Amino acid sequence: MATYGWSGKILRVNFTTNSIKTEDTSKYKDYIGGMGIGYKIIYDEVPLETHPYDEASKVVLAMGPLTGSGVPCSGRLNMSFLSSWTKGYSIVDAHMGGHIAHAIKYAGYDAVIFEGKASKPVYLKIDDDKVTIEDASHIWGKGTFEANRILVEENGESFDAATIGQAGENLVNMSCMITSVGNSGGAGVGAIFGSKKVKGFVARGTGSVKIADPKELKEVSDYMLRELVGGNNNHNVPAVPQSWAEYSAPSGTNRWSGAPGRGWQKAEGGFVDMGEQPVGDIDKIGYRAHKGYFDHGAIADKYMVKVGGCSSCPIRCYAQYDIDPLAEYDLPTKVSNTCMPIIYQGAWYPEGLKDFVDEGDANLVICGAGSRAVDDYGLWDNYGNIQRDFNYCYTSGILKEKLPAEEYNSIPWDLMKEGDPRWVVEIVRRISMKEGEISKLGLGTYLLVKEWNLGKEYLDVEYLQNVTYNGYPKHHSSEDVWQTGLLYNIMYNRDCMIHHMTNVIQSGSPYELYKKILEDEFGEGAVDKPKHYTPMNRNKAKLAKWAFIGKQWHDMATLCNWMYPMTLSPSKKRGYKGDHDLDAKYMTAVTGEKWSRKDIDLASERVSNMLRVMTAISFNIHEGSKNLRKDHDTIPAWVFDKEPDFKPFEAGTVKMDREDMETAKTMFYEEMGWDVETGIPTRKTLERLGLGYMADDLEKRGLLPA
Amino acid sequence: MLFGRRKEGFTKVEKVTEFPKEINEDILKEKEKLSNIESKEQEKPDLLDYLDELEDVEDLDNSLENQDIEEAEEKTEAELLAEFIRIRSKGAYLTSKSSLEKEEPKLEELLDNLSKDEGCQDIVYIKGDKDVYYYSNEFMSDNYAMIAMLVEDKDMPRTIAEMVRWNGKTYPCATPLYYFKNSPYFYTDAQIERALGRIRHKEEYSDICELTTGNNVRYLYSTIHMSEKYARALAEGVEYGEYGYR
Repeated sequence: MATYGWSGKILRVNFTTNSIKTEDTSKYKDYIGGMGIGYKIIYDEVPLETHPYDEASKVVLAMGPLTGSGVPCSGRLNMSFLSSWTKGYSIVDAHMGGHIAHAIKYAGYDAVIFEGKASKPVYLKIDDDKVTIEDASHIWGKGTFEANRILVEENGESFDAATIGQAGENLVNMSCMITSVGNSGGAGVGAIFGSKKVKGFVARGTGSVKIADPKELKEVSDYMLRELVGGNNNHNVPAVPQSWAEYSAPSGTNRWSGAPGRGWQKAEGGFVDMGEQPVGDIDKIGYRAHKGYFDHGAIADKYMVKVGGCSSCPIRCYAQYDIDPLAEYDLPTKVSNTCMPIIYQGAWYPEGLKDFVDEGDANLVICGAGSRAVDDYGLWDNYGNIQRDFNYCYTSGILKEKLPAEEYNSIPWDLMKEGDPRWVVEIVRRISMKEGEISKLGLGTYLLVKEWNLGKEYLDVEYLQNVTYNGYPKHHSSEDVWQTGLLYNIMYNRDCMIHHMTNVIQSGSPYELYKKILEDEFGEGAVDKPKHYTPMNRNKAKLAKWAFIGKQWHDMATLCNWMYPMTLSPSKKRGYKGDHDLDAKYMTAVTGEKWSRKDIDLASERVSNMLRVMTAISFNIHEGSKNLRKDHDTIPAWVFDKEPDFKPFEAGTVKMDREDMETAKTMFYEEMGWDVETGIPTRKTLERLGLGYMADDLEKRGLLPA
Repeated sequence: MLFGRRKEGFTKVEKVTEFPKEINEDILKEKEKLSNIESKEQEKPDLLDYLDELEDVEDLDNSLENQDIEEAEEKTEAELLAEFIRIRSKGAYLTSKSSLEKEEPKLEELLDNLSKDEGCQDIVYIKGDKDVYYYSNEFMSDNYAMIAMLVEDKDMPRTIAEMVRWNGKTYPCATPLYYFKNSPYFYTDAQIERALGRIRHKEEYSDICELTTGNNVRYLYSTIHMSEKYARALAEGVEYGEYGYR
């Protein structure tokens, strides 16, 4: 039954039996939505011994009460499933923006459970309450661009589509799902769908999300847009001086990158100058994010058509390009992306890149080719690890050693050496099609190390940026946020995807300004000067806990963690302080229930502990581990040994100190209510969060701390 | 044009009341075609005639009359000057005293009146080496006015040195040379190189030092605010970023 915020139904589709059922969402209310619903269903229904590609494995795609409610920056969904590629094979999530989360909510569902295995390729069609399993034989084997196009053409333009590419079909661990407007969800979800012979789904929803207090929702939204929202990553000062602004980011690397004189030269009707975007002028918020300029500098303007983004989001962080130099290589020129695919394809060229038409355009053109290729094949890059693995294995001679000579010699290395954009397409194709030994790169770093006997020392290499020995890299870690960033980076079974702190540290605001705002809340010593950190203290642990559990909230609600929480504001009259109560205000307006920040923190902590418990159980099952501190949270040597000219705590370094980091873990575990020896939640903590049944489970398995 | 861009108040805007939001040439052409077709068809009733036929509605709060009175009130010369400065500030421009003197013979008297007018307290000034510049701090921040003053004074070595120091003290950060290619400076590479040449040979700028990052991006920093080692770490942090060199 629909309630305010929640659609009220969960769709359960079994592809073995072709059964399609709906269930009441209300039994999952303590878990809110998104990641919370996903974790509860996986924990209840999928034994953690299950191989991710087995019939018993499931994917839970879920939204939250704020998704589709009109709350700004709420166009996201969360997919939970068991990892096929990390140490411990535990719970992971993929997160996808765009418009399809709204479509599913408007069709009347808070979540969709994909279970079982089809006997032949199929896709799921959600057309309000008409849900069917459709034949997908004609799109199996096709890339996501073509498959999505066909699905939208066949079903109608009011449908949104999301499909896997060949990487997912071929059970490449490093695979993702892509929507018809180019949004992706990664973490290996493509292969889970592929194992079920499910090419994807289409959705059309003509309903709505019920709002308890529409007037209040409008007022809170207007308040957010007028006073709180900044640019991309909610950076609260512009990258370039603007006349109304006290501050700007002199390095020009913050993400409020729209500025006078910058814009899109390929815009319909001629150049669009993004101009100034003063605080309070809500009609100009859409001009604040110029992700193309942020990623590639001034050359991006030449090929930019416009900026795009997700439903309900005023921040248009998707750079949309028409990169015509690619036409000379018979490659598609239309490219749209916002994350790694459009930033990090140069790493496939270990011997360097060459400019095409203008000085400095090499990386942009190569990223354009690579972005199209990885999105079309549905290859996920594990936040750049797959490129780094390739690059390092090539330059260190590992590839030559591990690949059969015949295969090695068949690879068109000349394309790579010439900086030809067809090289990135070729290497992506080989990995996605599981062609040859080189395609083992698609296993993911952890399994690649095992497969090629590279040893633990491989994960200690600084260039490879692995943040644990579990198979994934850092993602805004100690280089931004000292011990605090490193702590929450090692909590997950994939890169952490937490932007709470980088949104502040990289905002371009003066250090003293954001330090005061954060320390007013978290206490003295919580915030260190850029590149000059101090020894661990209790307030940094509190800060780490806030960021760690807060990210879960955003994947439950669902809200975009690239924007929320609104820690800073671009408004001078607010003293540049944001509003950490905003999420609660939205929950109250949308659901009609009185929500406080304390309520949100409690729900967030609950799901954060579910992550930890499920990780502990998985590590016990697959690694025989009874100690997450030792077996999951171990940090590679490079983090402590880099920058030999510096000592830890010296001005100019983020080189960490081993002993200090152990202190940091202890303090963090204490803040979380976890056993400091094992890093596993205690019964007291779990019962406080309504997770007594998980404490019982841990106890039965001999994992519950004494 | 100082900042090389169009700003409100500095371009001639012809009011087209029919299209208050946007003027789209395609739509205009289409409309022209349609009006040609329509003129050949039977004439439709005139909207104004129709409106005239409607009964008058009482203006309960006399808002129309009040509006007339307000419009009738004349602004003082000081208020008009304030309005002029505000419009320029909104367009990201300072208003130099020297430029006002050319237009207004009784400028000192006017400025004196302006400073006493309670409704004009947002009009403030900043002194440069070559002029005094007025702006509205309602539309332009004080820090931006400082930058704009430096740019207006057209002393590039001083502008670069002052901003490197200010950035080093405020954020703190090292300042990449490309910062000065952006708005509101829009300096060319050649201008920056010439200015750097002069900075290197002047004692007053001896604290301004240069470093180059691993990806060959040049940065400036002031030794008053940071060491070379710290400046390099900050600059490398920016250039290397999250994923490696840009």
